[in-house]
Amino acid sequence: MKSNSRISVSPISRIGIALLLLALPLPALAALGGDVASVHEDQAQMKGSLKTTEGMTYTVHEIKAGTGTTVREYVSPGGEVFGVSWQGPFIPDMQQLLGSYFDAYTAAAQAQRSAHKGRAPLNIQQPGLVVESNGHMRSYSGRAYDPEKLPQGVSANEIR
Amino acid sequence: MRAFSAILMVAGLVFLVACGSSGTPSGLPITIMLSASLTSLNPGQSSNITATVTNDSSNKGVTWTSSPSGFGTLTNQTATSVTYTAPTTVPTATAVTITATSVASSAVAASVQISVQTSAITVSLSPAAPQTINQGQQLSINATLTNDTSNKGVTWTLSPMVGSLTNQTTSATTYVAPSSVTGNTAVTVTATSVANTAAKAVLEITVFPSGAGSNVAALNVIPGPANSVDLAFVSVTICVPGTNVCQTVDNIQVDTGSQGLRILQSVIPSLPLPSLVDSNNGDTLYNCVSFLDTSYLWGPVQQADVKIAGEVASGASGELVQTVSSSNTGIPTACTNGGTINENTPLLLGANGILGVGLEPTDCIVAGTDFCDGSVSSTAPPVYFECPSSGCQSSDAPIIVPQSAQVVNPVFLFSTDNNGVVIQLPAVPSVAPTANGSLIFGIGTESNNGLGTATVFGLDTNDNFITAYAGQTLNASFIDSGSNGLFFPSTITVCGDNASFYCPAGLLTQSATNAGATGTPISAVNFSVDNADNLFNDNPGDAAFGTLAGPQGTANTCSSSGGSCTFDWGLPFFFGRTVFTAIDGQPVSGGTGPFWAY
Repeated sequence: MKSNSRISVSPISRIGIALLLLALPLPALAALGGDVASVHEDQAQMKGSLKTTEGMTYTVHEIKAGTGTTVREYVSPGGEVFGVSWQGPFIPDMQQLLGSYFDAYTAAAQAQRSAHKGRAPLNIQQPGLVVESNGHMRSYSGRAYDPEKLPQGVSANEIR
Repeated sequence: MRAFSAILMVAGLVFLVACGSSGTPSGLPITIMLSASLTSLNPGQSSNITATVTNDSSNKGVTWTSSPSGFGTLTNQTATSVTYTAPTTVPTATAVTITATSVASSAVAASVQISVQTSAITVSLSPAAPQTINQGQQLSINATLTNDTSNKGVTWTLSPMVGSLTNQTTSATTYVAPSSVTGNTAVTVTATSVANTAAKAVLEITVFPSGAGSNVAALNVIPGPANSVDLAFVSVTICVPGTNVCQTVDNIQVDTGSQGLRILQSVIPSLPLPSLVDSNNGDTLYNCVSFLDTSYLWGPVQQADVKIAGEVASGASGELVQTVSSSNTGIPTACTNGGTINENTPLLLGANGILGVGLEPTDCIVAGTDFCDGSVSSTAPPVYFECPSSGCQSSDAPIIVPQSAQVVNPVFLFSTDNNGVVIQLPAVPSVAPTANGSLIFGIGTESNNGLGTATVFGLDTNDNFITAYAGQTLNASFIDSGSNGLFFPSTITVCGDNASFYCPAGLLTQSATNAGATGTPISAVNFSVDNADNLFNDNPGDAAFGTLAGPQGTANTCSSSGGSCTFDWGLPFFFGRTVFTAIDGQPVSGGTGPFWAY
């Protein structure tokens, strides 16, 4: 909604856009692959508190969601979220967290579910998307990142 | 060469003329000597027979016949050799005579006798898979034989002589376990064919030191509705509260990693369980379970009497279950989370329901903190929703509910034996078609569920403990009968076609150390990891895999804290062990849950 104010449109078009935005279930911006603003969208969505830690090669935004789950978002010097992690009693809203990667995530997760006759952790290892998700009822943890977007000198092991 | 051949042929013609006129050329009698490569054959087996003919001046050799005719075949016939092949089915042992008759002089013949054995006797037992029974219990065993044409059946032996075999016949017996054993005791029952003592079959039985009681439910690792592996099932009886309107449902998966009974509406279509309704607006309370893989369960919260073995969780005293809706519509996005697999059929779920008998009283409590009743935060987690009779909207938000409206771990509501569960399964060193054990209710409440010498592991505020493995401290580790493998971060090769499992080149022996959340006590665990692709390919249809493992996170990403630092001790961990899961806040002799012990 915030970005809408920057758009100069006629009153009639403005109504049209407003209706369109109402029809969208989630903010257009989301975390992984999004910009710093998307972190704040996530914070608002999760009704959480935000703690930011500036590092040499990236910045970590830690959101403690109202439901008790902690989400960390890793932002590159260029302002792009290249990784996210979570830990807590509830799996975060993955659509919110993975943004444009969400469709690839659901496709891979469902393929893995179909291939696996039973319950196992999720292990997606694709060139452009890694998602590792595990835990038991009321204690979940996991992480997601785009291996192709890790800032130079940053190891994937640092996303946790 | 060509010239030489021509000379031989001419010579042959000369002899032919000579034979025809004299019958026995040269005056010396023709003799035939036979040799057989085998003189005793199993069904389908062959023997090569060679004739050595002397004084056969015309070199005409022999012709071959067998008797009884039609019993087996003669092939590859030449003037001096033949192959005899016995029939593939041999009802009775038969002596076959192979006769070689001189072509030059039909009066001269020799024969060799070949004995053909009857088809091999095989013995199979039902049950065939390793069994577990409690002390004092009995187990009926039946033997089936093939090719036992004399119908002599089997004799039975027991080793070691612990317990007894009664009601012995040539096809059945009953194993009676001793009334008391001091520890898990393995015996083998052997059925040996009377007609052929080389044919035998063995059944392994483990006797547990626990009396059969009203607190013991049979726990079976079987393929279930979706031909799964390493899932353990029980039968549960579900009743309309306070009535005899009940249905017993089998293939309910036992999950120590969750709380509450969730049962598919499609398997209890005619059971009118009352829903929990908000008296303010008439809306129905719904429950959501989201899985890691974007699949989910959605359905109303309903009252039921839940009966397992001799235990009852009464709907009147608060037993609430989730009945998983057969419909795929009217589900809030906050539950589906974008996922599309609503696991509301036996094939999708791999079970008719899930019996969550984990560490907590309800599905929204951890370590005494209730995340759904508003005490921690006014933000409701995506677990409970209210829907009108027309169903929920995709945009509906979750709501806060008190503990009394939450889906309950049935064990918590039993009138006795309500402080936890014990799971006993037989050892499965590699693969078994099935594994049969016990789900025992209560810890230290009966003679059959005492902690004994088991090590008790305390847990942290997330209900996890610590596993040290391959230089990693995995401090969010847990034991979970609902995970169908051992899952942990490792450098072991992941299967190419199924990223859920490991595929090492061969069997790997591994070790880890479990510790309570405070760092003590500690206990080493040895386990093995085999190639999942090979296991599945080599054992289609089998259900119990003791060496099945897979990845969880990436090796070496773990520090002292953070995500993906988990060793998930799934069902293979339970094989060959007695594992205790104690419920949060419930007193156990000498302490209080939650804990794991084994």
